[in-house]
Amino acid sequence: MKFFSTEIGKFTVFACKITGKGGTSLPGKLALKINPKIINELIKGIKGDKIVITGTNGKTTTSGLIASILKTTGKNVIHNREGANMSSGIATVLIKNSNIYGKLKADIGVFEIDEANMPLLLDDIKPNIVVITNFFRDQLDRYGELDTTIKKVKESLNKLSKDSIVLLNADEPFTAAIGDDLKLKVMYYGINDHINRGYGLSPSFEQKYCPSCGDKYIYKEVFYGQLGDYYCPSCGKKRPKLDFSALNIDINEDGISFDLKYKDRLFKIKSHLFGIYNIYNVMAAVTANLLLNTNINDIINGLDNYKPIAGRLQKTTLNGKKAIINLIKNPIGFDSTLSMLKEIKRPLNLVIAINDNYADGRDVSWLWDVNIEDFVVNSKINSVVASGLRAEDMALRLKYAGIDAKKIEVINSIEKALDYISSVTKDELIIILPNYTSLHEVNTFLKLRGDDK
Amino acid sequence: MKLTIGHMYPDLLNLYGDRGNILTLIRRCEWRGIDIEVKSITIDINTNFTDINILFLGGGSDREQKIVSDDLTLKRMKNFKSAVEDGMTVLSICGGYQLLGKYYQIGTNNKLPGIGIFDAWTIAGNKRMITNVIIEAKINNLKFKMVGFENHSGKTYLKNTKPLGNIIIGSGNNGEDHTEGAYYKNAFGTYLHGPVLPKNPEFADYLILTALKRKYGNVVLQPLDDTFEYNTQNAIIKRFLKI
Repeated sequence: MKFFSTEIGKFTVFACKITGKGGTSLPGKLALKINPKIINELIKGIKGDKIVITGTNGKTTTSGLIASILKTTGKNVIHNREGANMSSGIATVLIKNSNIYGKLKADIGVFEIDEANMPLLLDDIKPNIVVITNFFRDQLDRYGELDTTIKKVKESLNKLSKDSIVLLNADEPFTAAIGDDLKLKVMYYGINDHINRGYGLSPSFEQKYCPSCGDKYIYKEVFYGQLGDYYCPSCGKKRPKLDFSALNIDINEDGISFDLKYKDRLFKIKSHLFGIYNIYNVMAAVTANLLLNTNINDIINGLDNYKPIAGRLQKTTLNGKKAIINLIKNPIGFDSTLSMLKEIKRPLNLVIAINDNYADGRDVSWLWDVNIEDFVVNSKINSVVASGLRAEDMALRLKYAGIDAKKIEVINSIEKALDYISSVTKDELIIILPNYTSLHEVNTFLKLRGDDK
Repeated sequence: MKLTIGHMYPDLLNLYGDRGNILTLIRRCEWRGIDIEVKSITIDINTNFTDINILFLGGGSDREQKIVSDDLTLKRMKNFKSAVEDGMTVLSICGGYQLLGKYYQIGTNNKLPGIGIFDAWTIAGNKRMITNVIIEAKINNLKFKMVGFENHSGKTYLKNTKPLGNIIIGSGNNGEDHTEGAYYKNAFGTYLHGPVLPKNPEFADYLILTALKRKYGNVVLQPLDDTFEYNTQNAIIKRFLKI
């Protein structure tokens, strides 16, 4: 069975290559149909550690950083880098890395897993380190309510071997609560600094209630979204004690730097990623590697070697004009992107492309949870194009955010929208903000034009 | 002229872009030169609703609905009901809508009482109804199409309360009788969650107008340029009704 299903998968990988389709999920999907245990069987070929990263935001960056550091140490790393993070994506990356007999050889596996798929996959992968970044409202139409997802994640963790380590973001109350009465070794990372830059006022602020007694949490610090240093005035529950903490944080146009404190040691950490949320991603990646006993010099070099994947602050050109692409797929991600763009002093020409395909989530209500009003007041906006299957919804959102309707163009076709924006742009900057499936369309278009370098 | 919006439990009932509804009421008043103020009404902040012209209740998860149910039924039922009888404009969505009915039966031993503005009750179902929705709304003598998105497992059944409209696409109140939402006097409930008002400007204006009329007597609303609003609505109607 393993032989046959791996063969089918391999053939599909090949077919995807010659037809030019991405093929990050389809081969695995077919192989899983023939042999539902394919992941469980292939993964035995990984001799060393297996690390799983889940959560709402930061999975791709955190797992990419972990893999980049491990590669720097010279290890043979398997990693679902393209971000296909459901069963079919995991199966695909395993098939791609095995020979035609279904044999896989690797030192270490780094797997980003969708939080709703995690309970299904954890038993097959049996990771020895699990990193959970955060839980935000995201694609609620697909997952139902957040509470259900979190409960399922916790149940699946309790089935892991007792010597596994769960690494949790202490600053995010939902995530930290997963550590309560977990029968595994739990460690926490978080920020120990004053860095509030107005993120606390975000309308996406979600969890403020103590899971033990139901009273409101009081925040001593809010870092972004519902992340902060909190405590419950009624029952005394508070942010867990930090095993790893970030101090002396500096954020500027070149990136971020901070000191990571672990026991009595202090590590100087630097990354060219920027934005407050990337402090958490970098911290999680460094922390996971410290637990794997990776040398600190390799950690520092691995962070430096890391190249963000397509669509994460990706720099490109359109008709020779400078453009930046950044994926937006949920309110907090969109909010953080806009906060970052507020720092740019040049006038902006924006394309915001919103699709509502299954992978995006069919519901676009979340666009109304983003604080676009604040961005409109604080930025110079030259022109805006709303694009994608839900271009009209996006345009309407922009109108109510306070952008003059005359400045808003509605162009459903993403190709035409990109053509249009490059024609109206002079010296200003182009900002392309696609959600998940529209990002693929943007990149396909750029590749065709040879503009993707 | 001035209207005051009471946003009930903004910290508890706030799912799926509820903020968009408040923003729409604010903007559509602003564009007409009507002053508007938003007041948060949270747990334990008592109010007799005399200063509120439009009351808004959004959606929430089961855990939050329990807290809201206690607060509503134990502390506010009488004042809330008499304000509705007096013609206060109310918009309630999803979780908020369910608690304006008589009760929400979650499990065999778990029944959340509501305040009974609508002669309706809700029973938790096993299947979530998650889809784009198009309805034909009928409010008194007015008829218009409304579009939105629903995501609920509770099935609501109406007895002596009129539905907000009939389902063209989607599940609506219970997925069985083709009704969607409910209304009594100027109080409305609907499963079209989150930002129902931006792309349904007739409905948004109906709420504004009823609130103005109750406060100021006969008022006429100045028309607005709703091109973007109707383009959004029509894009959904075209795509899902395939016309």
